[in-house]
Amino acid sequence: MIRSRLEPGAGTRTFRRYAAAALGLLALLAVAGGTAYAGDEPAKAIGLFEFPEIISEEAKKIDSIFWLVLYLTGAAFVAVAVGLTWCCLVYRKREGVPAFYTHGSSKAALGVTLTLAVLVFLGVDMNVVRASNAVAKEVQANFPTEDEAIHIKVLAQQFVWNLRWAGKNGIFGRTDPKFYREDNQFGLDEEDQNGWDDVVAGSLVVPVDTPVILEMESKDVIHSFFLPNLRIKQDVVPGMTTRLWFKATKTGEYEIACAELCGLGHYQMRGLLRVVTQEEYDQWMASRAP
Amino acid sequence: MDAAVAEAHVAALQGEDAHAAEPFRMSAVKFAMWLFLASEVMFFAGLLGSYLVLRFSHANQFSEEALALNWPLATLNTVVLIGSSLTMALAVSAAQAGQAPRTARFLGFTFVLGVVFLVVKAIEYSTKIHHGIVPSMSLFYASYFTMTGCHALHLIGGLVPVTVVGLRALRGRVDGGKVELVGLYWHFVDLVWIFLFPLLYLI
Amino acid sequence: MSDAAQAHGHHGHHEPASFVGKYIFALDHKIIAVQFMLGGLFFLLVGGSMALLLRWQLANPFVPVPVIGTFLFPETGGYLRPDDYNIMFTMHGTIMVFFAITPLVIGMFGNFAIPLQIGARDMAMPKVNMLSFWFYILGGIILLVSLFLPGGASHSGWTAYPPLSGLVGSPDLGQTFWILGLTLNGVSSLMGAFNYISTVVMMRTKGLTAWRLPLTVWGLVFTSILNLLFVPVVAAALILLLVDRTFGSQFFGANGGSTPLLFQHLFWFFGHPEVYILILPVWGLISDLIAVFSRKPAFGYKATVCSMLAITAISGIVWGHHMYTAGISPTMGKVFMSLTMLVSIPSAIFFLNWLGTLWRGSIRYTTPMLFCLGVVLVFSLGGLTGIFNAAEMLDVFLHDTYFVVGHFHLTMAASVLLGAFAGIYFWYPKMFGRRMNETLGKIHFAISITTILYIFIMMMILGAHGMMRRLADNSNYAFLKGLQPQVANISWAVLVLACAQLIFVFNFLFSLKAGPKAGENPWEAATLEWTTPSPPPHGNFGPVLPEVYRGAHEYSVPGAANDWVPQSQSG
Repeated sequence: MIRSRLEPGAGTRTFRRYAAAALGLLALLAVAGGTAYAGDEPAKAIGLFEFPEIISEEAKKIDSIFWLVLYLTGAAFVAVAVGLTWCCLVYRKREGVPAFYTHGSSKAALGVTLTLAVLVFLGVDMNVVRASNAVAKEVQANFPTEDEAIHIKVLAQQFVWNLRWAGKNGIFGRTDPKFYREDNQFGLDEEDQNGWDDVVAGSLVVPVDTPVILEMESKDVIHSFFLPNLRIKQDVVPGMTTRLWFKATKTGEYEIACAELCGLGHYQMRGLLRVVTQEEYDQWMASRAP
Repeated sequence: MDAAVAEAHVAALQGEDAHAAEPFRMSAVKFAMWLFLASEVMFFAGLLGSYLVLRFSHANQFSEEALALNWPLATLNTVVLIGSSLTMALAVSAAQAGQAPRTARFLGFTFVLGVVFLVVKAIEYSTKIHHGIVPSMSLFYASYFTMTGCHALHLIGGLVPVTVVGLRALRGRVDGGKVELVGLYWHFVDLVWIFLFPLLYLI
Repeated sequence: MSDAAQAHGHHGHHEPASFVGKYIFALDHKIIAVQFMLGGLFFLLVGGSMALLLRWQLANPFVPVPVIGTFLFPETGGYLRPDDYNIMFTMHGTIMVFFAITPLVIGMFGNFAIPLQIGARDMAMPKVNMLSFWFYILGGIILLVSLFLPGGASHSGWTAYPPLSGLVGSPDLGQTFWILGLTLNGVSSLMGAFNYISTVVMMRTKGLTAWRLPLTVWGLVFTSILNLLFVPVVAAALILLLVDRTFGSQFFGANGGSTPLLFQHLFWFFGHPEVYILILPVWGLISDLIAVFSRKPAFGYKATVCSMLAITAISGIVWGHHMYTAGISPTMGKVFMSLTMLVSIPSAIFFLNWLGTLWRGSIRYTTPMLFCLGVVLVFSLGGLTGIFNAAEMLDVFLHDTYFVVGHFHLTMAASVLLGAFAGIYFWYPKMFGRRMNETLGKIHFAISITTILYIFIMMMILGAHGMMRRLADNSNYAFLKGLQPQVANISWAVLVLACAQLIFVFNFLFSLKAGPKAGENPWEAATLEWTTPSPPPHGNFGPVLPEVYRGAHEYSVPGAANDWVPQSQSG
């Protein structure tokens, strides 16, 4: 039988010697690599399951899909892993016990296959689709009405997020790419009075418990506006306006990231989200007004 | 070569290899040719699909710019290309009948018509470029140059095997199967033009 | 040679005598298979070294690479600039997908297994086969040369989204070389696809009906169909991108009123099937191998084939799940999510059939079998984590994070490579007439599977933190900086994984000379390739082609003399 053919044949001793030498060399390499390792220890380590703090109701809903899918797929994985381990342990080669000759094409096997298919379709697929669609209805499609929300325009460029508020009059000024300058990143048309009170800033300051609508455009390449604490992201594509909304329920300073490769400074394209109280927001607005 | 392989070689030559397959009564190479044409269809489907998507979102601009194309010249080219398909079909039937001189003659006609098409195309291109119409000018002209360019390259690619089998036929050697393969490809290139012509010039 | 023989597919071609004719511009499918294997392993080494550089940079941002750093990056004194990092992961992805894995599982498996398993003397078109290999090499050379261009190689990711890959984001020549290299690779894949399909359809030996084909052959046929249909589409996209770059048009720019999303649609229309292009041959192979080493017929053979067919069909209509956050309409997102979920049904049937084959078997734990079991385990993790990404609203968070990186490495990198190793360990005796060392093979497997699971599970956990992929340095973000120890640990595991591959290289080379002689059928397998000498002679089979009388997995047949019945045994 096959086991006997796998027994070491002639020439194995030299083989072992070379194998030992090779393994020794590997161990040496690993030690050499270890001494070369010189990473700084961070000030405060984050636990493996300490995920970023959630700061909105919508983010909680998005996270709930994560846990639902984790339970469903976890159960499936356990089933596969247990089945695999069990088969591997119980059905390893034993003398005198031949394998059971079956093609698995009987009616019973077909029945099991079809049952599994239906189970996967209804139990996993449709469950996940339904959960995602339910959340989409409340989060993605549930844009706040125009008057209850604050509108902020985002203009992405390599490797900065530019942000603009409409100011006191509530109307955004006209822009044109021909006015792009170092001190006028949005290309505001100075002849348009609506734009005179527009507030431009580098960090996203929003009042707590208030819906915010972002209207996003890009100057050069594709970026992706990512708010990890809010569990949302949206690509910012040149030639298109994409929209995103959120309602933060907790004050504090959070991070904005670029999630789509945008060039050599991609890793530095970081922004700041400051969720403040309504009073602080009004003060900040007043202080920024031109 | 060892004896067994030599025998196998002889067996293969005599068609004694047990081939249960060949279910479609054609050679494996011809079947592969059809597969190749299927992939070519997907290539042009990619180009045409992109063109149609762009056209639907810029309908007016595309139709206006299409007026600047020289449709009489393109009609002439369509006739030339359909003619070349005819001569190619005649060449194939001549080759299958084993008539070398006739095959060579029709392959010659096909070659000449192919070259005429390319010359007319070159005239069209040079007039456009002379008038400052280049791919960077607009989406329509970019599509026009890209798609007709890809088609012309395919046509040039077709002239090479036409020349090869044509020269062989001139020397009195014809292989109906090979000429048929070349013919399949040639008809396909014509067919692409039949799609490009109305989509670019007429609508 | 007469025309009749040519129409029969050149299988009567003479064995060439010269070295160049025999080993360089080889026409024999077995030599071409070895060429593809060596090419694939070479590029695996290149792409793997790039992964090591990436992991070094992530573990020790902007610290010079030890020993080789000053040689590789003399301008900086040895560390990777952010652009070098971008170039490295772009080339790592491109090389691994198109120049390492593709030649291993399609070039090698296809060329070696198809003619031998269907009882043919060679491929339908040996010259096209030879060209296929050299187009692949040419594409690879162009890609490697682009690393030494003044502006460096392409740095826009293996997906090459414009405008970053257009003139706006990549004015240098590197991106153009990338396009050319990939186009040549696509031509190579296409040549292989025509050849494989027409060989299987037209040149099967007598008695080898569709339901008697080994599952490896089925997998390769479906892969080739996908290659045939979808590679031309990405070729069209690449040509439009090339025109954008060389003639200044705006197919994928924003200025002319077009949209960069058009490229993403075209790319993923090919890109998603590409994942199945890579995994289908491996599914077929491990279905066969699990049967061989469980000494049982493949469980639910027809269900497996139908599942492969279903996956092939579904793969063409799910591409939008790569674009949930790209700016497509939410309705489209939901349609694509529902379609994507369908993939889980045939996938579940695969697992049922693999476990069904093991069930009440008599399992031999040989090295190829261990790698097959590894594929089952790793692919179950990879496939199931796909459901996280497929759920549209969850993907809004997970898209472009390490969760995606972990997921797709498990499915299309780790599973496929473990499968490729299973194939190499399995067919090595047939290719070279000698066996590889089993002990070293098992050590190779043990280290590989442990590190692979650790690396990619950790990546997915980091992704659940929102850690973005393609960052040259995570420490800019406060919410990522604290995860640096975990990032460094992954890099460690990658180093161990890389070292374990040296065991394989050693085993491979040493066994060429010192491995025990294999004999005709060392694994006691039933398919046709094990009825010829190892290595098979030119022309594969003796004077008469074998005739097939039964299915591909007749093991432990009650009443039979041996526990396997070769397909060619009559009666």
